Amino acid sequence: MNPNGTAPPSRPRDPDFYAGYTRFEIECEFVQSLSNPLYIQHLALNKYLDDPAFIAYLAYLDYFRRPEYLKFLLYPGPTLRALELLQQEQFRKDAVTPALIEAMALEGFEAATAGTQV
Amino acid sequence: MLSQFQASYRRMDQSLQRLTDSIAAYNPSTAAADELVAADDALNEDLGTLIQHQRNVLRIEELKRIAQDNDDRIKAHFRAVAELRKELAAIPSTSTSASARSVSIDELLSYARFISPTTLPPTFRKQDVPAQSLSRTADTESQPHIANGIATPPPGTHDDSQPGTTALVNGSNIGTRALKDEEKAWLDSVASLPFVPWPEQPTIANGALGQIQLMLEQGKDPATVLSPTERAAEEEKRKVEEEAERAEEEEKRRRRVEMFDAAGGRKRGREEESDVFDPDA
Repeated sequence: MNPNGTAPPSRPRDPDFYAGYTRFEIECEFVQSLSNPLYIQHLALNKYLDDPAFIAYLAYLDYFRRPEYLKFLLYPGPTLRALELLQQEQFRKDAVTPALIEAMALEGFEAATAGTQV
Repeated sequence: MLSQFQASYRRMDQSLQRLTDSIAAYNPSTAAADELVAADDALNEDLGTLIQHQRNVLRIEELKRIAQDNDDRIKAHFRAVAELRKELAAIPSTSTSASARSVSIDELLSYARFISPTTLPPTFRKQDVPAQSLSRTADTESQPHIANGIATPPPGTHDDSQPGTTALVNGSNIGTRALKDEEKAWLDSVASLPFVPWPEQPTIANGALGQIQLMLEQGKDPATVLSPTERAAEEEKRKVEEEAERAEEEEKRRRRVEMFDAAGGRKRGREEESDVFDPDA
């Protein structure tokens, strides 16, 4: 390891590796944490959803829809639903309201428990 | 054929006539009798030929009939095949995209096993879910119309849920805002769900992004963590440097030994020989 503890300036940053994790690991974790409506609300309240670069990144994350990447998702249903909703501008605007977030949470819960007998 | 027969008949007739003439003239000629026999033989032959001929005709007729039958049968078969082919093509088939997305059963089952812990707990029963949390949406939708802070919280809200629910939400930013009654209500409804099909906040905080956040808060730059290839490259460099150092040390020692040899003429084996002047050397 470098003795001074600071990053050597000459080495270019590896785009696929950061802080001990591969880029795929980080992206996979992020996209799945989007399935939690409370996290989406946190992003909305911190104005992340107003940044066009962030929205473009969310559109890029749509590659998890493909079968070869889908198989890595532990929460496939809510994740893809969240990705789909986040592409709608109205949803991004309304994500700050607690009512919408609660509705989304209940929708996810209902969808997950739909197959069980009442 | 007919002319041939007529010729034979005529011959027969003639020979018979000749014989009878000769017998009537009291001059029976054996030649005429022989002639008659020969004519009779010829006639028999002709009859045989006729029989053969007739048989052949019958056979031809029969064969023609058989050929016709076969033709008809073949035509019927061809027609049936054409119909079946039409029927087959008319069956509504699954679109080709289905075959492109076909998944093996093993993959499917292993994936099902993979997501089952996060999809629904096996002991889940829907009737256990309190109905009030499901009907809470009606209450919270009407709450924004009520003046802030004045409205009493809807029935069923627990007062002690507040410290718990603040921890539930990603604490770095939401915790700084004071929770209003309506937010307490919806947080409670989400928290009261027995199971959620997504990662909870502690799970997210222990993940990669959470660790990166921790590192940034501690002041460590995450970019300094080396990838495995970079680590290997660094190790190589270090090894090369160490070897270079060792080589330099060896050189220095050798030079020192040489100097002593040149100065004192005696070979000193010990390497910890000090450079202090020894008058007895």
